[in-house]
Amino acid sequence: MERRKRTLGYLIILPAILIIVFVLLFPLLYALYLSFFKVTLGRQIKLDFVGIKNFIDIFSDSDWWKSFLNTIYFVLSDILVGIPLGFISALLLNKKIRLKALVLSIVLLPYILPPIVHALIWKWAFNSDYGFINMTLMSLGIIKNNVYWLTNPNLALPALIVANLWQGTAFATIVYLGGMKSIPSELYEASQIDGASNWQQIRFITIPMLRPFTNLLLVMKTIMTFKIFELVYAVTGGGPAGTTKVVSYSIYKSAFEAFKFGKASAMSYTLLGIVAVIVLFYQKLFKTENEIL
Amino acid sequence: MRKLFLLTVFLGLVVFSFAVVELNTILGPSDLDYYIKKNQEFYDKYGIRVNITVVPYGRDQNAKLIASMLAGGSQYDVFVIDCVEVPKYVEAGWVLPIDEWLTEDLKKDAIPFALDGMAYKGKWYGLPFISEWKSFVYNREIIKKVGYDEFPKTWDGVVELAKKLQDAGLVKYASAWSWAQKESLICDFVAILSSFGGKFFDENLDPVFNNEKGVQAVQFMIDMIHKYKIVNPASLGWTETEVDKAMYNNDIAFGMKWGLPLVDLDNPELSKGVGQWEIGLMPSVDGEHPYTVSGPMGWAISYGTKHPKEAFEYIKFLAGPEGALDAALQAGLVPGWKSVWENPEYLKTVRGLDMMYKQAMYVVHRPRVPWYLEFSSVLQEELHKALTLKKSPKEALDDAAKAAIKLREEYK
Repeated sequence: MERRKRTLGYLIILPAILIIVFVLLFPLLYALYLSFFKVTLGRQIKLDFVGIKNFIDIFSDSDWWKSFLNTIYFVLSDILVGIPLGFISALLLNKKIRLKALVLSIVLLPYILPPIVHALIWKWAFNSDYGFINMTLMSLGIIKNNVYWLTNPNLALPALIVANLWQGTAFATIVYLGGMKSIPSELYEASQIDGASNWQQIRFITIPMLRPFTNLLLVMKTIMTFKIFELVYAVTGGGPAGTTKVVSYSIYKSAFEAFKFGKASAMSYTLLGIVAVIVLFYQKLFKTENEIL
Repeated sequence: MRKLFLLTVFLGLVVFSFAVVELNTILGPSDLDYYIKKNQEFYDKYGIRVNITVVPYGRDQNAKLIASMLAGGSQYDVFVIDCVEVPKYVEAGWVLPIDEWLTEDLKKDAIPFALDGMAYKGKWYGLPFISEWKSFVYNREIIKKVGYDEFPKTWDGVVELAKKLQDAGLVKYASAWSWAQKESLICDFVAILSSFGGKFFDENLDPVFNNEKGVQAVQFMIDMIHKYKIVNPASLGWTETEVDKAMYNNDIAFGMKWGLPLVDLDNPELSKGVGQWEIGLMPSVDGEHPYTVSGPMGWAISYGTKHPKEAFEYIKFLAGPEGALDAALQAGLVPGWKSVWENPEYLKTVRGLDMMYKQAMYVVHRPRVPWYLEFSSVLQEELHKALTLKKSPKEALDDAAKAAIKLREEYK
C-alpha cells in the first residue's frame, strides 16, 4: 500500500520533473558544455573544442571587467541604498496613515511594472528636452540649462542606478512590510511598558526581528541586480561611450548579435560562479539566521 | 458501390493534399493586413497557400529563423532579410541564390543599391523590398526666414545656415541626429563618412575608415555638437524616434529620416510643419558627394525549402516590380525598382518622390561582411568615445580598425 502510494506520488510529480529537466536543467548543462567550444553556426552547429579559452578570453578582456565593475555599482547601490530605503518606507507604511492603501499602491507600483515599461518611464524622465526631471529642476530654479543625464558619460551610470533603485526599493519595501507584520505586537507593547522610545523599539525589536528578511533581501538583490538588463538595453544601449555596459548586456550582445554562443555561455557561467560565491559568503555570514532562505 | 465511391474520394483527397504546395513565412506585425490580402491574391492566382507566423516585433524573427536554419531550414520557405544580414546568412549557407530566376530585365530595372544590398560575392540572394535609405530633409519655411531659398550643398554652408537660424532664435538647435550608442549611429556615420569621400574597407577588407577622411568626418560630427553647437547634445542618446519627434515639433530645421519622410511630416496628426518640409540631397564636404546610407530589405528563400520555384514565384509576386508598385501604393512601402519610381501614378502619391529618386543614386551600404553586427557594436562604442571627447577621433577610429582586423581574422 505504502509503495503504491509512493509510486503514485512520483507519477504525479513526473510531468513537473520532466519539464524542469528539459526546460531548466538541459539548457543549463548544454550552456556549460558550449562554454568549452567555439560555436560556428551553419546548416548545422559546428563545435570546435577550445578548452578553457573562452574563460581566459573573458578574464583578459578589459570590456568584461568594465561591464562587471558597472554591474557591481548597481548591486552595491541596490544593497547599500535600496535596502535601507525599503526599510524606511516599510516603517512608514506600517504605521496608521491616511489613504494608506493609495500610498501603498504608489510605493509598490514600480515593483509590479514590467521591466521594459519601467525602463521606458525612466528614459522619458531623463530626457534632457522633455523629461520631467529637468522640467522639475528648472521650475524649482535648481538648474538653468538642460542636464544631459543619459548622454553625459559621468551622469549616465548614476542616472540608471537611480532608476534601478526605484524598482529595487519597492521590492525591499514589500519584503520588509511582510516581515514587520510578522513581528508579534506583544513585543512592542512590553517595550512600551518598559518605557522604550520609538527609536529603541526599532533598534532593539524591529531590526533584529527582521534580520532573516534582510538576509533574504541581500541574496535576492544580489542575484536580481547582477542580472540587470532591460534598463540598460532600453535606456542607453550601454552608452554613452560604453559607460553603462553591464554583464548581462554583454552576454546578450555576444550571443544574439555576434552569435558567439560559446563565449556567451562562458560569460554566463562566470557570472553564475561569481554570484554563487557571493551568495555562499552570505550563507556563511548569516549561518544562524537563515531560516527563511 | 457506395464504399468504392467513398474510398475513391478519400484517396483523391489524400493525393490532392500532397499535391498542394504550401509555403511558410515569418513576419513582424507591420503591414500584416496587407500581406494577408496579398497571400489571398497569390492563392487565387497560383493555388499556393502561404502561411504566416507572426512575431511581436520584426527583429524577433531572427532567433526563430536561425533555429529553423539549424534544423534543416524547411520551417520557413521565404523570409524578409535585412541587407546587413545577407553576408552572414550566405556564409552560413542559409539562403538560396536566385540568379537562375533573375532575368536581365529585372536586373536592369532594379535600383543599383537595392539589388546590391541583396547581393554577396557575385550572386543575388533576394528581391529588393522596402528598399529604404535615409533622406535628408529640411524645413523650407524656417530657412526662408534667414534668406535661404535652397538648402546649402556643402557642410560649411550648413554650419553657416545653422548658426543664422540659431542666432535668429528660430530654433534652439538647428539639427538633431540619431547618435545613441546603437545601430542608428553607424547609419548616420556611414552617410557622413561618405559625404566626406571616405569609405570603410578597401578591396582586401583592410580598414580605411580611420584615414584622413574618416577622421575629418568624425571631427565634423564632434564639432557640430561641441564647437558649433548646432546639434542638440541629446542626440548622443537619441535614435530615429526622437529625431523624428523633433522634426514633427519643428524643434529642428534639418535632419535625416528613413522611408518616405514627407508622409509623416505632412500628416497633421503627427506634425506641426505640414507642407513646410522638403527633401534635399545630402550635403557633403565639397558639394560633390551627396551620399546617404541604405537600409534595403529583401525577400529571400531558405536553403531548406522543398518548393524553391514556387517560393521564387511568391517573392516575385510580392517584391517584383508589379508587386512593389502595389506595395508602394497600398502600404507605402519604398520600392527598389526604377520602373516604379518612374511610374506617374506612384509619383503622384507623395510629395518629394522626385528628389528622393535623385538621392537614390547616391546611396551607400554599411560594410557588407559576415561579422558586421559585431563590428558595428565596437564602432558604435568607439565613435561614442570620440563624440563624448573621451578619445580623439584618430584614436577611436584606429581602435575600431584594430577590432575590425581581429574580427576579420577570426572569421577566416
